[in-house]
Amino acid sequence: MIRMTISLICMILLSAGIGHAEPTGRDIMLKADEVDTSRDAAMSSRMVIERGSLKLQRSMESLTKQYGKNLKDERTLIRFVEPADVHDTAYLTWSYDDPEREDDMWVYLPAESLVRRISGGGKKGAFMRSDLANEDIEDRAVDDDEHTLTGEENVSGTACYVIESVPRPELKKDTNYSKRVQYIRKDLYLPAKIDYYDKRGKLLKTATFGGYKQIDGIWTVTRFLYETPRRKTRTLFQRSNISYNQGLDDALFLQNNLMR
Amino acid sequence: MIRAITGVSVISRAARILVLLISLLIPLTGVRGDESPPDVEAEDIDVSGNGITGDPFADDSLFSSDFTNEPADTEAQKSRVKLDMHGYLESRNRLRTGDSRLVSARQRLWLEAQAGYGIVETIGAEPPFRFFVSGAVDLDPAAADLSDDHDTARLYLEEAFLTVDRPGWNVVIGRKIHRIGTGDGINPLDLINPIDYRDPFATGRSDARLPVLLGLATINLPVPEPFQEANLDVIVVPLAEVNRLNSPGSAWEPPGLQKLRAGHREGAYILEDQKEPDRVFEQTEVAVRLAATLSGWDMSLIGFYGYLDSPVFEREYRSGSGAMQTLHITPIHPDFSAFGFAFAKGLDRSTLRGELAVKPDLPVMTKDETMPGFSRTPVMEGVLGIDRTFGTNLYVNLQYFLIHTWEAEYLISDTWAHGITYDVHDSFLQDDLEAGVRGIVGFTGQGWSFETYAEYQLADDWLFQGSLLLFEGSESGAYGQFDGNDMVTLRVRYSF
Repeated sequence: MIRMTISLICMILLSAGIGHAEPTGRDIMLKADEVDTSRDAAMSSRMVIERGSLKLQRSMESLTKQYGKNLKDERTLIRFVEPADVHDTAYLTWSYDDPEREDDMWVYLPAESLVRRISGGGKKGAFMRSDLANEDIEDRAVDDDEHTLTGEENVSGTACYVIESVPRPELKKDTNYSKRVQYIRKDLYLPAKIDYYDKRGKLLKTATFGGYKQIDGIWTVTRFLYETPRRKTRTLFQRSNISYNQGLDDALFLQNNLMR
Repeated sequence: MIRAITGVSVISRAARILVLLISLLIPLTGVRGDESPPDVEAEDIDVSGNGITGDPFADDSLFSSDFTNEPADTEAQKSRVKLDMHGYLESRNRLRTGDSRLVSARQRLWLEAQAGYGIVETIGAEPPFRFFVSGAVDLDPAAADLSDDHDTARLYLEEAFLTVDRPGWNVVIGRKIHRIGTGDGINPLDLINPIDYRDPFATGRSDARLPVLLGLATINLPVPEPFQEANLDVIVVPLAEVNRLNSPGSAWEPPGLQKLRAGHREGAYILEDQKEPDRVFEQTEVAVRLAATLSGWDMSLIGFYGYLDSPVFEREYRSGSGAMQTLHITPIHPDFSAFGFAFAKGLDRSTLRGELAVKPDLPVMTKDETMPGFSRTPVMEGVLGIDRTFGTNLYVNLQYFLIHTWEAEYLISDTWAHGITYDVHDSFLQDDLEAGVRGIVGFTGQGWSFETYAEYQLADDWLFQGSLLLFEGSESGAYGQFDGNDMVTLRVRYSF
């Protein structure tokens, strides 16, 4: 009986050991993916691109709504307000959690009075001449990358998980990056910093996140800074007027709504 | 019995230990389970003086200067009036290389404004009543020197339309450009707006269109699975508007028209004035488009009844003085109908686009001098194109077009006509500079157009553009006819 008891205790301790195991990188990224529990979101954004003494300013309004069985599919409408030459240009994206399914994307070009389907081929291009690539502002599915927890580190005085995210082999051709090193806050599961590495494995740019606010019960990054040391440029991005779960109308996310 | 009791007792004790240990271990295992989000008040988050710990932007210094103007509130409002105004100042100058003549020195002030009014029922929606207006002042002494197509100074309204937007439907009434085709450069189903006769080529690959007075009703249709979106558009143009023939001397006056005018001057016949549709609500155009989106496909069925944009030349002998009969040639715009199908499909990093149009009784000019100068015949037009982005920004767009004309042996058209349109461009200098080539190549005698261009954006407001546009081919070809119109264009634009 004593042997049996010892065996039981050993099993318990063994299971306790497993229980103490660090979460995996994927666990953490899934957790980070679940921070935004909203069904829909509306916000305004402003972007300032600094190139030496030159400053480019953009502003836009965006709407997002979740769809599908697990609310993992997403529809996003972005309408540009500034600069004047792209005023009213709008992008509509229907993205799907299923990695096998292509996103649907349309652009409305007011000067040509034209709604036009576009492809994801421009993902690697710069977003409005900024330090962000188009792929940086897209909703990236957790399983588009293989995530490895490489340690923990303090960033801006707060503890973070350090996760190396490498694109799945079949998706490598669609991204600028060989890997991203993500610093995920342990308290909020929001990013504190992301280092982007180019295809040669060299540091390309760094994103620093902040302006954390709890809005309608959801912790949200409201400010971030992208810096590209090689180009000596940086982009400041601020979100404002954020509201969640306002019951956005499905009709807002139709092609028909793009044209003014 | 004792052993048995003792045994039960020991197992029971072990089970209790097991339960206790498990209960102690549960909080240590896994990453945070189904607990509620971290909360400042619940002290999950460490708050310091300027916000939560670890916020590098908490002190506001970095974001203070350029982020003072908060955009408009996104909350739904009971009533609002929204007014936006934008525009640009532009200097666009075109030098014809053949004779070094400035064919256009257009200085333009362009203004556009939009206003909205009404109760905004949901966040993100636009006011239900919206009005858009655009117009310009053009000064173009160089073009005015060439022909009567241009005045030295011209103040005009471009688009002006009212949109009434209600749940499930919307209506647009006013002067508007409305495109329904999906092709690039060649659009067999874009039949509503005529070509801008003053400036017919927007680029080496695309034409420029003029707005028309129209009514457009769009109804969002219920969408059974697997459809994702479906709309029905009905467009009515109360008075058809057509391509105006260029005045003598215009840079865009085709050689064929020049010859007709020469024959008129020599007295061989009388070339009458262009007879454009002029009976409102009698010479109307109607287009119906049923569009649906399904698994990455945008598909639409299109029907059109209207008037030919490019004129045919009606021939008729009329009695003159005495027994003489005089040949009168009149540019007219007969009616016709078209039915078609258009689609677009996203494919990885490419987009496939296509249009197919059947025009069962299209008026086409005859080869010989029989009356009335044109004949009706079935014509089928199709385009199929693909675009793709290579690397980061290298964009390539190729489109093949094909036209089949029945009974072409009697007509000026070939039985088969085909060709390609193309656009290749890339970005440089941190995307400030875009450069590329674009154009159209006909394989069956239409000739070709080719444009190489570069445009540089300085800051947000300034655009500098230069281009060289070339035409080549036989005089009877759609592009070859402008063989003498090779031109260099320089454009500077300030947007506000």
